[in-house]
Amino acid sequence: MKILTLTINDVSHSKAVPPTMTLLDFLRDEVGLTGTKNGCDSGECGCCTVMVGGKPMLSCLMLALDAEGHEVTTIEGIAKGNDLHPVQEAMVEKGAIQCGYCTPAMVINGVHLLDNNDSPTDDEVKECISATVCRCTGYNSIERAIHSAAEKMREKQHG
Amino acid sequence: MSLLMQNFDYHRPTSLEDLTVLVSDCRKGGRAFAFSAGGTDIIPQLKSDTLHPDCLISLGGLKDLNHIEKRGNRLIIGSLTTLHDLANNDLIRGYLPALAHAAHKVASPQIRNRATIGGNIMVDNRCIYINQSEINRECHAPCFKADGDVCHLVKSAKRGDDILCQARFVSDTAPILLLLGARIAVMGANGTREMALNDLYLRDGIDNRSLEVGDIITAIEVGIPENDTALHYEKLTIRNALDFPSLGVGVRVTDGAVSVALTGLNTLPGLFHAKPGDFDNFDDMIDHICAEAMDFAKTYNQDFFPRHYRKNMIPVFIRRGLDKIIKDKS
Repeated sequence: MKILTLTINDVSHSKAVPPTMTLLDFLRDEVGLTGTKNGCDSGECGCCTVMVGGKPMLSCLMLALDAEGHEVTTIEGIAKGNDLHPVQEAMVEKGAIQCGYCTPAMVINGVHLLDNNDSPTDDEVKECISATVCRCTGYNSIERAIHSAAEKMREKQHG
Repeated sequence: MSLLMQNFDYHRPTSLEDLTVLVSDCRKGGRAFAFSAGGTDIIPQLKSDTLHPDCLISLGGLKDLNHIEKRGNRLIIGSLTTLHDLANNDLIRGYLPALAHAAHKVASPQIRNRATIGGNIMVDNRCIYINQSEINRECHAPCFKADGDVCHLVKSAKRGDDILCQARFVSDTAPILLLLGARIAVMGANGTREMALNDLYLRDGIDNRSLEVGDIITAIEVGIPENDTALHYEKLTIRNALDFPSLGVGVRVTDGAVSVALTGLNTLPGLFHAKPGDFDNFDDMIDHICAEAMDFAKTYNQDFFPRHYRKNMIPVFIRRGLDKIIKDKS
């Protein structure tokens, strides 16, 4: 066991973890942040996407100890209190959520894209969600939601 | 419930000196160890129990190995540069756009944010019989790569054969790097040495790299090609957003001469050259190089595409790469 101190959603957590524990299990089982989902556990489905050092990564393909020194943002850290992030709002408005299992990962991917690119093209939106599997929506509504969120964010920025 | 890994010790050295000490300690103690850079290929292996080290050495703390710089007419790429950084770096995009493109074709955006160029050229060979979950793997007798006594692709294979295992070479970035004549800096027990990337790859699917245990690649050095040179990488996969190449073709055209590098089709990458002076016309030259490439391919049924389809796609992808280069030039 090693002591791991990790800042997750701006809160510092210290826990003793075995070296074999993935970041995904650390988030869900040790810290209790169950918004991040475990799908395939082998890097194929994208459900477990979280931001590590500001970039989306697969938490099932990362040892918890490897995350040391990086800030981690999970879906629980995206909304500010009761105020949803524009991407989350747009996901609700555009019917981009059905069973919800991929939603946390889709939101993380969308937020990261729009943080770096306020007017993404269709291809850029498609690529950003390309490695996250959704078995309900058929992806179109998720793409529409990200475009709509981009529009909202641009409007907010330019008043 | 997640897949459980067998227990191992974990170390994260922050300097090459610490790493050297750690490796030598492991050696002295007779402890099997594995290196993990991004870990995106190692962790699935740990989960499916095809890799069981006593000690995992994470290279993520070696910040000095994460850089891209230009020295004269050469680019030096630190081995821990992530594939995302490689694909989006201004120097790489400006001088080696085909390498940026190949790096972008690896796996998914989330994996490219974590996986490194060193890890990609070292990525272990794959076969449909071993790279699956432990439960599925148990349906078959363990193959040679799983310390067993059978190859499910070549039933007649036996210990002592030159090539025991047919697991495929699957790096996406290697073809372009090989076509650029890349060299690698390797740090081992006796200091640092330099070698051609091409000499890294061996013929067997299990013993598939020429490095000694404990060696790590610290940097990759690539010459900037002259203006008369153009390269392109084409890849066939089931799922573009994620998969390893079912076949990958790198094409280089330099002043009329054509070179082709292949991945995903044999236990090691293939590299072929043809000069216009040796042939009656351009079409003959391309036919010749396509025939050589198809000859080299050992397409067993170890991929989701049927073997004949993969083989027949080789000339299609070579010509597609050439068309792209010709189109970009005009």
